Amino acid sequence: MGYASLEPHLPSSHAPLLPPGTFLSISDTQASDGNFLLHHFISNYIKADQNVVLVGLAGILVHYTMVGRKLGVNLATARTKGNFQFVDGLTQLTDYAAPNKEYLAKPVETKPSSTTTTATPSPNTTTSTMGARIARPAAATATPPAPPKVLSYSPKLVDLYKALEEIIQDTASKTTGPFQKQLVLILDDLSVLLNCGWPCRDVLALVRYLKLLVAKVNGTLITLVHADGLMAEEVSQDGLVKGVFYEADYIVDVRGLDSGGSRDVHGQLSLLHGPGYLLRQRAGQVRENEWPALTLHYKILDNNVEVFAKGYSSGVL
Amino acid sequence: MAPILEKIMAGKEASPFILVKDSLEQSGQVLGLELLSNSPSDHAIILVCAETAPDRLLPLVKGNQKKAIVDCYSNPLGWVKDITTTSTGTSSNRDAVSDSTTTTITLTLRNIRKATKAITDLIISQRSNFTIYFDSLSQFLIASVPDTFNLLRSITTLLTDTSRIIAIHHEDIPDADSFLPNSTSKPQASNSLAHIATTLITVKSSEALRQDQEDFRKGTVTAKEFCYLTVHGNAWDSAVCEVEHKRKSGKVAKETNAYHQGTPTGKLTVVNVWDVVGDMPDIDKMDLEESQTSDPAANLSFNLNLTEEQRKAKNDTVLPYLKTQESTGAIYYEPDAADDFDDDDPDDDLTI
Repeated sequence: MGYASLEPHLPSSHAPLLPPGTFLSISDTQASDGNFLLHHFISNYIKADQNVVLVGLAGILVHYTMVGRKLGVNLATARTKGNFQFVDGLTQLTDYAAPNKEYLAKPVETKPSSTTTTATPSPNTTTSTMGARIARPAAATATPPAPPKVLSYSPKLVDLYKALEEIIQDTASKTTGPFQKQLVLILDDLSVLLNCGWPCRDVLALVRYLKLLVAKVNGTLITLVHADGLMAEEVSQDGLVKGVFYEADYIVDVRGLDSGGSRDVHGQLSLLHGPGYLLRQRAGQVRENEWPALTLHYKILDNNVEVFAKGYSSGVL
Repeated sequence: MAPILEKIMAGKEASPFILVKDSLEQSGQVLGLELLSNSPSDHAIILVCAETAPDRLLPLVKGNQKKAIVDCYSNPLGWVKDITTTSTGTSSNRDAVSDSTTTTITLTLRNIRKATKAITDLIISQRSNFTIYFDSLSQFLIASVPDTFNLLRSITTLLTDTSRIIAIHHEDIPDADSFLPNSTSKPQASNSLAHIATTLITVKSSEALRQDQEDFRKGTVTAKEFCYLTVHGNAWDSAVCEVEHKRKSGKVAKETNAYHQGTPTGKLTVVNVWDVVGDMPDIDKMDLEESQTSDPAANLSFNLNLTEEQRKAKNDTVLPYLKTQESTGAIYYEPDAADDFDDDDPDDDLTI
């Protein structure tokens, strides 16, 4: 279980997982980080022995591993088992990392006829047919998990999409059989792509393509985007948040309290109905009270997050 | 008199271009689909899906008309080579669609001009009156504003007597021009669209209007912290619609109506906006109360009234210069002892 007090508020049809083929969008602010929600889902999916593909654009694997440990999941074991895939989208996303390339994980030259990888006796390397630039581990198989795949710089976001597409199809293909595992693709976070210079329209298109891709493999998409009021004046930031809200099936908005900071309540968490939800409701695809629109308060503890109704903080009662 | 929205929904008011303006807070998609479902039975329905998956939109269009789908949703930027209209994981109930066969063409939004050609060709191939439905013009506008207008113009040239365009426009999504510097000098796409539309329906959430009314009643404005979407957003039971309808005669009908739904999947009924939002405080009554000011000398701690004697004395005082107020305007000059009075005209020596 991730956070027990959050569980009752999430859609219950596939609990503790999310319904496949849907898109959950988390928005947060500088004052209230929405990261804690991602850890909840990572923990739930891994404990349920399903697949997680985590694209760390704003965080490194060590961070997720440490938080995972507090929540009772061992990400290293999950990686060896093949349940958990981490994609490093932080270290080499922009070409600013180029001068320091020798200090970073080596992305091997990924021409289709890559001789370096085929030379090593590794029975399980899947040959990449596309020219997507993904770092392939020099040593394959064996008990130590391969270093995470790295997303390297490309001026066009379509290359990033292709790299992710390959990883996802790879992961999904490993679990064939009677019980197709559910997959969750987590992007942490989208605002990084905007800040690195890709245009808002491309980032929104990436979200659309990933949503469609993930739905084909019985999966769910979860993204995190920053939605501060101060950023709303900037057209691309504003456009990104609104675009993501229009695409999403479920929206969770994490915000600071209106009245300021507090020791017992760290912020508010709103489950919102976006335009997508209204349409699904009209089509009758939504069960009653599956996702009521409400605002809750939360408090982050050392190895748990308490979510409670407004006014019911344990500091008050 | 039936609300104008009801007449438009029933088709009693002809309108070649219906524009539904909505926002994150209240989606106009439900209203748009209802308008579409009421299309005449001889119309071919063309669904241009840019924001919703076709298999999610199609079942929501009731009616037995022939349907065609323009799928701009599955491959908006052409990143995927071989694409067939994808399903979003939910079962596409193709059986629910009646015996009409549906043609589907997939387009990218990279080049709106090519898309325009494809759409106009599709319309011409239908060879009948048509209703074309854009589930989001914003996806087109974010690509190119002028090309989107050209697309609409090209479709307008193909409109017959009863054919029409129904389009949803999200007024809060920036268009392509907003991303460029100095965008404030360009005309806003929103306004330009409102110009060419014959019916403009702006959808707002009922809760927002209720809160405005509360503020008006209290005389204050509640401070709202910034957020993109509130918990009251996209309520399924009702919404307020501000309708501006331009008739062929040139008259413009402007009304605020509302719609109400009994169940999330139920029928839409047009109602009076006050039924949904609650009674508006009577503005005329409030104005009248203010103008009938009560006696200002009533509740003071000191006495401003006059006794009878004081009133008589007041009326009897002779004000100085009262005589002059009644005179003709002639100047009465009475020189003092110090004045040097001279009867001569000082201007005599002038030879003008």
